[in-house]
Amino acid sequence: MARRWDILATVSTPGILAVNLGPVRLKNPVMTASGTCGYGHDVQPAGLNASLGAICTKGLSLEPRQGNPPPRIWETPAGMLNAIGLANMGVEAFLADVLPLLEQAGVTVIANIFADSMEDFGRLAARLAKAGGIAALELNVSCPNVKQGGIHFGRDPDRAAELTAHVSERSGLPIIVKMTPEAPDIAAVARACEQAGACALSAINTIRGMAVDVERARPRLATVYGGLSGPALKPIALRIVHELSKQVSIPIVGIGGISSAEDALEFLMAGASAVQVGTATFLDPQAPFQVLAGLETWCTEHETTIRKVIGSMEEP
Amino acid sequence: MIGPCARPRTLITARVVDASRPAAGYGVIRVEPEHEVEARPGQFAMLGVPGGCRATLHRPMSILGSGATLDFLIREVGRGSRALAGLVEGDDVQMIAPLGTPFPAPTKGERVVLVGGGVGASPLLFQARLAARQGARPTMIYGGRAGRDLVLADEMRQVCDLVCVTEDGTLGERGLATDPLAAALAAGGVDRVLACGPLPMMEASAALALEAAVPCLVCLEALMACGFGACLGCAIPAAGGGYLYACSDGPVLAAERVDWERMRAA
Repeated sequence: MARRWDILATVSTPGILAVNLGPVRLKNPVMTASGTCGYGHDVQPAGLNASLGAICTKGLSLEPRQGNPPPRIWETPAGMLNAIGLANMGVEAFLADVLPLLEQAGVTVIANIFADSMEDFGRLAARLAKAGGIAALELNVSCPNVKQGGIHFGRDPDRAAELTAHVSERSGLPIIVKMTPEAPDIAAVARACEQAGACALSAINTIRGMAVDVERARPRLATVYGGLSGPALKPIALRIVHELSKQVSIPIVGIGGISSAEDALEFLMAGASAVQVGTATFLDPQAPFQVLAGLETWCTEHETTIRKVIGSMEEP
Repeated sequence: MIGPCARPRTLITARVVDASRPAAGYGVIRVEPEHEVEARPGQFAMLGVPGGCRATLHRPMSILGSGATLDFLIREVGRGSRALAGLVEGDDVQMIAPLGTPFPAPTKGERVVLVGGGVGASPLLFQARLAARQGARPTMIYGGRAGRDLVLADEMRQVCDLVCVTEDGTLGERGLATDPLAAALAAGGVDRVLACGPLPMMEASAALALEAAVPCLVCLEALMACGFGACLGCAIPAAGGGYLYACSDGPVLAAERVDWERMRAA
């Protein structure tokens, strides 16, 4: 399989914070999680986002999507449920109106992409690759909030692998596959994606949950079920990242309830090579930058580097 | 969709410098942010109580006032608003402000009718105070279940021709806010209606204004996690299909941009 990015893999990255996701070189391990930072220019200025390892865009589709009817969110203990339904401006608007601003500002862009079929995933990936300026694609094969596609690819190792190979082939871009914790055998999905050529895995997406309005005897969300995010997920996400790090040799991006440098360090020590900050941004739009600053301080104080921290947890 | 973000967004701390309980289930807090917040009527702040498990979302609260101190009228609805309404002098709050699209600035000579229900009176009082500075005295129709829900009536009276309406008749006329609105529109000479309150009140006000061919702006409320366009939680069904977002397109919207029927379904 032609992978035009292989050549980059030999370049080492200096600096105490720098990490590699296979061929993707990041100046630091902190990214924004898809769906929590807009497109990289709207929630914070693009120039500020350029200081992060990367931004993961709101999930992009071939056509614009309006999303689900309200209510779309509900607060839960130590987290929140969402059922946004992948509302997004569509890939063409992103390429025309947003990507030039991100490139100009020097933002490392990971495009999170979503489609109903493998063919559309391929078309979308090829379109983004042709435009240039995208560091990697993150495949959303784990969205719990749409009727078609998405999570079905992420539950089944064979389909996940087939999709990974197809998108990689069509785009030539590095592929990060976003894992769903709802796969019956997440390790099998992870191994299949690795074999199919994924450059990294991100884990985890939200876990489906629900809440009930007892006064009205109705679900709190219009779609009944929504994805649970926030600190409530963190122990589960950590366990999955740890498990997957034993199963695959490609890097893992840890996601799930990270709101401080300490949270990020837990993921890194458990085996993640980078992290994404998500729901925490809703509470404090500076959260990813604070996590980054905290990691830098920690590495300096401990006279270490992020690369040494990765997987450094000693096991009993 | 929101456009490019020009300045870094930050969460700031504000000190509660005054707190009162005007009626059961309501709190009024005056906060002094770490730096001045220039706000306009209709804009809001995401407010939260610091600490805890860093997981309680902030709550959108309409801002009353601008500059060194801001006031918030809070009705206790759930966990977050109860915590905010219960703050006392000396407590800290976290806030992101100002957020959202405000009411247009009052213009001289314009005859405005304000229709407020419950805590929805807050941005309207702010707007009326700005109008008063221009020598205008808008009509304010203030509705609620009972007299005790019309928490801002005294402040309103200073800058408005106030008409109180309560469902139980304990203050002003018995009835709904839309009754005096219909009369005011029938009398003519109204240039604009600004409404903020419960959904049925806003929908009915919008319908009356439309019938009278008077422009109507509503200030909407929605569940939201962030307040600045990141979570896309605060979807408002838009007339003609699709969604507007209360935090960025709104909270102030021209009434005809809202699909009221789909709003009701939500």
